[in-house]
Amino acid sequence: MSTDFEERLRQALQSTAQEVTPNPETWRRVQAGIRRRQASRWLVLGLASATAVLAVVAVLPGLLRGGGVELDLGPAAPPASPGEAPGGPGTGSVPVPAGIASTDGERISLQPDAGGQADVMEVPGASLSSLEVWPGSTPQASQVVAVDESSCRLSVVGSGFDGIATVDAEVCGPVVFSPDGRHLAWIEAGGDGPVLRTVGWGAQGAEVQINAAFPLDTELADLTLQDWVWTSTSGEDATGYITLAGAGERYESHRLPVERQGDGALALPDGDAPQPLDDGSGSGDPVVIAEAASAGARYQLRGRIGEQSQPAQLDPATLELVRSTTAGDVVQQLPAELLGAAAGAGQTLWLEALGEEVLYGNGSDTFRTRYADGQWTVEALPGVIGADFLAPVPAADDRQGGGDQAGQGEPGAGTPAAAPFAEGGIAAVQADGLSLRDPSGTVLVNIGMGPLTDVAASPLPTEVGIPLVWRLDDHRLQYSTLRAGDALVDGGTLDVEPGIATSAPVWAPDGRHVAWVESGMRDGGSFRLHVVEWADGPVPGSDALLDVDSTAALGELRLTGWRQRDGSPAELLLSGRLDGERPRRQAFTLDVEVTDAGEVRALGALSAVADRDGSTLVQADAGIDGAAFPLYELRAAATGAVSLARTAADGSEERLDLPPDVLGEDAAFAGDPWLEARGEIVLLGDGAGRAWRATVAQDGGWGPLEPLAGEVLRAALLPPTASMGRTGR
Amino acid sequence: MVATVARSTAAVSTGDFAELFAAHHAEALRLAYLLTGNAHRAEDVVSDAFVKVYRAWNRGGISQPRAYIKRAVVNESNSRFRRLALERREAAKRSGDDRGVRAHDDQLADSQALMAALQQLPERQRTAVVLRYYSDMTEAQAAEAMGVSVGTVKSSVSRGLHRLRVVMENADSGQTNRDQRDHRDQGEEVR
Repeated sequence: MSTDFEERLRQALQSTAQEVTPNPETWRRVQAGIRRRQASRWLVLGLASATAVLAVVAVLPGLLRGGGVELDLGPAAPPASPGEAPGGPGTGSVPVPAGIASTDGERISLQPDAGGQADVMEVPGASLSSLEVWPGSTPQASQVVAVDESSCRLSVVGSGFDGIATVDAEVCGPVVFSPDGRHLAWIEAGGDGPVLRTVGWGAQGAEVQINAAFPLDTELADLTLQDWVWTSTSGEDATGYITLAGAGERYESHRLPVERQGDGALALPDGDAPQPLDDGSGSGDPVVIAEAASAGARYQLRGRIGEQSQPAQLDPATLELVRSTTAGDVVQQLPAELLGAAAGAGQTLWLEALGEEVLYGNGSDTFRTRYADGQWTVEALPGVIGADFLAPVPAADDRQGGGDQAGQGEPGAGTPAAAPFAEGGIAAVQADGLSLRDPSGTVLVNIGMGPLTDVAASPLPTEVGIPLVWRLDDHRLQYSTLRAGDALVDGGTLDVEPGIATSAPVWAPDGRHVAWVESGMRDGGSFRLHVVEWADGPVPGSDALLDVDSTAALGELRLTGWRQRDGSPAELLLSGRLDGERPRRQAFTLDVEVTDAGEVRALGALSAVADRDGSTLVQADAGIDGAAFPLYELRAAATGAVSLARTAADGSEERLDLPPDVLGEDAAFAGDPWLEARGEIVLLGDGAGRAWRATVAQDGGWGPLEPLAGEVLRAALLPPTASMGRTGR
Repeated sequence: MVATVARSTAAVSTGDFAELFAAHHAEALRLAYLLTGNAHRAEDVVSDAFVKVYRAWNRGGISQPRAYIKRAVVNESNSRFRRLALERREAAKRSGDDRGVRAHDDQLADSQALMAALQQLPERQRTAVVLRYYSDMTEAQAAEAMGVSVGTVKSSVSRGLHRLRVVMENADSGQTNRDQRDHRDQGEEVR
């Protein structure tokens, strides 16, 4: 019967396989993919959200199409305050955009100012009307949300990732980010009137668990969101307003006061009654259509209500862009055509500012302008109907946050996520990516990166941040640098042959090498060790291989640590699973030497760690380069009891007996327990989602064992960034 | 020592690679189709897999391109399966019990039942079964392609076959019942 069934299966598989025929288009897609890989080095940040559905689309290389109407702007208006210093206020700390994100209605383009090819993402079938860049985005790590009017959905793209996420919400009009990037807001047309909706946002995208809905007065139904301004921030607390503007029968502009309270929740202190801005119809004063602030300057698109206008509408001939600083105002007169007859009262005019540069448009034409050396320069962006700036990568000196100019707040300012890990921290592998935590284990930010299985952090931060290497669940190894606590930059993939199982990567204590093993035993009973030299990334051509023979019958072997003392060869710590009637875990060591020529030599055989009041399952070294830090071990006694042992440099030992419900016999022997140590902090886990943190008290004894919240598959201890700037070289 | 760290690649001609693609495209597509159960996803898998194969090819060639391409297709299929799992579950909920058109041709019925049954297998079992019974790989070759041990391939194939057999035999009995019902209905009409 078995043979019959297998033959039937073979025939059915062959028959089924013939149902598909090769599509000639595939070769073009392959060519496009190859070009894209060559052109783009932007890192996938990934987006993970319970309501974000990933729709994979092709990312086609190329440039935005040309076209679009160029308006005659006439000569640049002279500065109203000629005494103002060139460069304006704050010169020296004024951010310079790294590029712009723009849309032509069908595609989203990320164009670095430094030149080079734009990343262009098509959104098939979409009719994109506007876009917003998540504050703090850079060409290396960006998030762009674009409104698709045809489906009333938000499309979210990040630099370099081969897909577009859509937020499952009814979003038909413009959206605005809060200046710190922690909230996204839009207006939803409800049956009982408009509703202001907000959703929490972070480096990983939408965080739907912190959303809110605020019913608004029905008279505001025809208005659109313009801006979100924080006028003051203090820790979690923030006070500011959201501007709504547009035209129903008459031009209107309102400010909706918004507060963020200590628990992070948003509130409308005045309820659903926003404060109407003076429409100027009585005074003849200009009204603000859109505004933005950056680097000590405030930019406003203004116009005046026509004298004979009834009901009140903007006079297109009065449009102007005003740059306000402490030195005074500078005005750029704008052509009447910008407002357009159809726009009626300017509801489609928008404005974005970063540093000294401004983008503005009317939904069909877009302009980029800059005030410098007493003059405006204006550039039309053909074909672009919506755009926003990509922020620069902050200089090292700027990474500590602060810099809350003009009340706007920097991305993440006042939030734990913005602070680098001055005292260290934890990068925890969860089901859908990394959670970055403070040293106590409190989650600061989640980064959705897809399914990971391991992460390892360099012991030494570089000038850019903390180098990380992680393993995907398909055994590929990727790397990046954790910058300022919540952004990953300068990433890439370590070349691992497809289908080869790899162990977790391990860093050398000096941060100059990364190692891993091919965890499956090779023919002949050996395991292959890889050691790659690291200098701001893997040094090309430095992958040194060493086949490690094993006399023990091991089902699997992984690296758990790299122990190195001054002047001594490296001692690699490994843990394998001994095959047999009752498979069990066993710790091993291997002495190796990494030569100046980049080769790795074994200085001995793979050695099982001798039993000490129980078999040693896993070892971890807590050392920094050359220092005498202790060795930590997970041990299992013959009774099945598991302990965490700390052996100091002088040989003294301190043991912590683990409760059976923390790490019992089964988890220790048959499971995949792991151990991570740095100085006097230890993380341990059962490899199945539970993890704990233990610390050594000043008297040398163990402190309490504290569980890490959430499902933690593995975790790495992040080095304190107080030492940022050391290169490890 | 072998140098295999990849960073950036220079622009190169894809002329020779086009020949490699042409020679293996169809086979890779059919493998991907069996692994993913969807023609469009199979095209996605194959195009992405060939982009990755190109990197290795561009670094100095591939000694066994057929095996290498199959490994790349398996890897790409599996990583996509995880991303698509939720989507598929959602689709299954929506489709309910409506299995669509009944097939009368035995072989076609077998194919349809097989594809439905394959999609119900866990990823590893499905891959192992397809590699063994479609690609005719040995257990060792399948283990290498999947990045698992030979023992894992054995157990995955064994469990996969068992589940397939149950599902397909259920499909057979369902078809038999329908045939009997149709026959009975025809008989009643005759009477």
